[in-house]
Amino acid sequence: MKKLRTKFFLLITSVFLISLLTGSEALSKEYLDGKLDVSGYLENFTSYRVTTNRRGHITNCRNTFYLEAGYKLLQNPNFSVELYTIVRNFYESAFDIDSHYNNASNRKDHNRIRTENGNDRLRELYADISSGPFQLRIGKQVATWGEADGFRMADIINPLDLTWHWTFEAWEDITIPIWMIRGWYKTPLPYDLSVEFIVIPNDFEPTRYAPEGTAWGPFPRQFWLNVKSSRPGNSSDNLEFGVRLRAEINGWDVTLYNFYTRNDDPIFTDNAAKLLKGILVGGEDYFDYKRYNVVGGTFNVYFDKIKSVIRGECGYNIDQKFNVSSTGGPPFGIRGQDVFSYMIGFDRPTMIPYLSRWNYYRSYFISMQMFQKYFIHPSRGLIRSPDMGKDDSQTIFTLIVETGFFHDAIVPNMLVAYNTSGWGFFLPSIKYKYGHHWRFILGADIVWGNSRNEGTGMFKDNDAVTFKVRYEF
Amino acid sequence: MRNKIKDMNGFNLLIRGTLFLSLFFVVCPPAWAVEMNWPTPCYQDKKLDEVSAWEKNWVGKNIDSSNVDEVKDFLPETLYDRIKNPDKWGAVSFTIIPYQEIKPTDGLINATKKHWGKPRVDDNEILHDWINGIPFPIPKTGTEVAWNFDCITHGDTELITNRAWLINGKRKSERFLGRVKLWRMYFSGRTDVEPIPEFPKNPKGYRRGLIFYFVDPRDMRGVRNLSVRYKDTNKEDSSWAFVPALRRVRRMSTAQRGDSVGGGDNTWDDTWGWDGHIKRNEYRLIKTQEVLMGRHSDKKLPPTKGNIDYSGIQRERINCYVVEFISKDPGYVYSKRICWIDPETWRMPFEDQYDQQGRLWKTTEFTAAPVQAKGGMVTTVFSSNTVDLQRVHSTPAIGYPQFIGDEIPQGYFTADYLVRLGH
Repeated sequence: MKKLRTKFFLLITSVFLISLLTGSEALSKEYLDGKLDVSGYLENFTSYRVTTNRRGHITNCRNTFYLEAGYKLLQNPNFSVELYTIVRNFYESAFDIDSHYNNASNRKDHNRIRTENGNDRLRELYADISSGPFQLRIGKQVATWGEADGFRMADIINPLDLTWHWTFEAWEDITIPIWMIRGWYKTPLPYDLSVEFIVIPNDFEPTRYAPEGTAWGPFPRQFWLNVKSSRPGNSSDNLEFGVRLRAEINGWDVTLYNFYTRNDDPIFTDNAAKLLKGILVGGEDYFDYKRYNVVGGTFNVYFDKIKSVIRGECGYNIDQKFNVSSTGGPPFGIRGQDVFSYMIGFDRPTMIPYLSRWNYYRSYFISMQMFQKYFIHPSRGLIRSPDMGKDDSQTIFTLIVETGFFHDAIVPNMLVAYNTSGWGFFLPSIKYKYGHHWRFILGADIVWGNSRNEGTGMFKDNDAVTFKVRYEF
Repeated sequence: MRNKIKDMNGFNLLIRGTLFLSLFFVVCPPAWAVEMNWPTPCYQDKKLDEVSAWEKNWVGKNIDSSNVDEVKDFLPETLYDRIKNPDKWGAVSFTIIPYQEIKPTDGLINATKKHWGKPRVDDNEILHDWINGIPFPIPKTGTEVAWNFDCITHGDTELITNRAWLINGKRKSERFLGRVKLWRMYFSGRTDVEPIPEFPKNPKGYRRGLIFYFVDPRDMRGVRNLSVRYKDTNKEDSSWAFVPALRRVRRMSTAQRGDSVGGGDNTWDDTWGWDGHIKRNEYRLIKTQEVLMGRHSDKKLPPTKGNIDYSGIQRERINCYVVEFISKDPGYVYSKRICWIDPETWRMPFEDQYDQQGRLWKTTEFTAAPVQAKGGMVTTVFSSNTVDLQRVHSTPAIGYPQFIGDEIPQGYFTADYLVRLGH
């Protein structure tokens, strides 16, 4: 482990020095007559938890190396092949720095979040094969179908890694790429109608949660271990597939989709005896990742009268499996349940009186969204996911505001989310761009909730000041 | 007898017809004559002699703060002021070269003559009955000049790589702003490369597609911005952006077009001087003015560290239209622009932008040069510089055309394709 760590840091240091020596204003590098382009960054992300308890203050000191490369293998007007890859590794040194934080969780669990694990270092690797109206993308990748920010509804193809900073990072940093085949066909039909399909033949990744005692570990350790041990292996049983139609109709960008998937979050198996046996003895799968079907659609449209883009999405989960319990504990039953959810929001660059004028007419990008989710005819004793609490419906509002000062050398940003059942979070940040390569981001996580079992109430003691420094090349 | 009368009637008709035609040619010769003479060079006959005589004294001379007063009449006031005050703006110089006529491409000449006199503009600045070519070869109003500026296709397609910097004139510091690749293609209104005037399949009625692809800096890398202008000259542009951090295409608001591009001094609308919809402004033709502009200046001129302006531009004397662009939207970032427009290339060498209070805020200069394209010689912009006069700050950019006139697949210019291109 120590050797690996040394090698990793040697690599990072080498890249860093090379970047400094060859540092020029053009950040990314192009080689082989522009066929190969390479870019990346080195980053340190530190999070200081301000609440006083004996679980430690420094919850992140994550050093990341990120390298992205694209190679145009074959290019002619009728046929092209491009390769694309992202390699990422990190070392989480919070456990080494803060002994309280180190002791708050079981050390055996640290390796799971201390470095990028095994194949995950090869974050993405795929080939893009294009010919006329057809395109195939084969390999490990991320596919995004939704319109929403801050929360995901139609974006259910790739699971999330919630181990290191919950959902508070950019999606590109916390989605888990998976092996899949993605294809597009631009039809000759009116309205720019195109068809996209996705097939995930055997790869399955569940949502990743942090172990108990770490900052973002929501579940008891035994539960977490049981979930981990229930993860199905890669096999054709994991087959997931979906199709999406996209069109532009009179200025409205519209999509309709259907995705047949395995739930990224598990439920208890319905065999109570097995469950009890599993807890006591181990070696059994007491969780299962059940299948369900999602149909839905998205839209976005620009209205000149209000200078705003209105966007929305909805999804109808057909026969999504949930646990039911008459007592709230084992034994659990399983019921199929339909769930409907939608989001509607707007984006509007806005000139704010005095502020914009003072900032040389830089507009403020304002984005608001409303999410609602409903259980359709909920079963008695239905056990809901933590974000739903005890309710049969939930309503969330989000607000994003961003602008730039001094020619965008300073970029303040804020995201606030509020669930009507009382939980929410506020993520202000300010980014400073220094020169061609350096970026500094000072931020905060302000998290609240009425109940420790619901939504971000689980992390209400995690208010933190965060600092990110990044060298881009 | 009847035949005689018939012959007499025929004779009378011939006489009357001849008299009518003679009268017609006496009354209406200017339009006919002008058409025959188009394209007309900026200077000809006596005026050309006068310019040539002036050039004998000035060509090859280096102009800086010491002698700029002598050519003051040929410079926009904002440029003169910057050259005259090196302490504030940095030392800048340029050289004078002789006037060289730039002829339109054969395709542009043919299209313009074919549709001569048909296009018209209504009271809301909307263009009607235009197919391709220069709609108003001899413009009489500011709106007509603006439409000429908008309708020329400069080779029908192009791929350009642009690099831009941020210069702080007060601190004499410089920051690399970014590198952008830019694809532009006309779907209709084409003049230089087949299919002319329009792609046979253009079901959505596009006139022009434009893609900005940010290569650098890293935090904007992969952002692709697509904007589409329609054949229907009354229809507002549409634009979309692929945001890599979200891996998703976002529809953009036209209100964002008045926003800074990546933190630079120029806005999306400032591209090429004005890249918004023509109907968003009212226009007033103020005058014609002879200015020293760079239109045979293809030197790669990276900014000098901390200097607000480029040095070394080669300028020639051109009699430009000066048109006031007054925004119809009272909330728009600029209240008005004063634009100089070259009558031969229909490029905009200079513009001054005024803030909402009517104060002079920014000024932009574009330098260009003719290059060989697929459809003939076309003039392309090699560098631009937007100067914030209030903040003593500038955003110089240099661009290199990778091709002009080559085919770009039509499918590139769809929101769907942004997703397919995005990583």
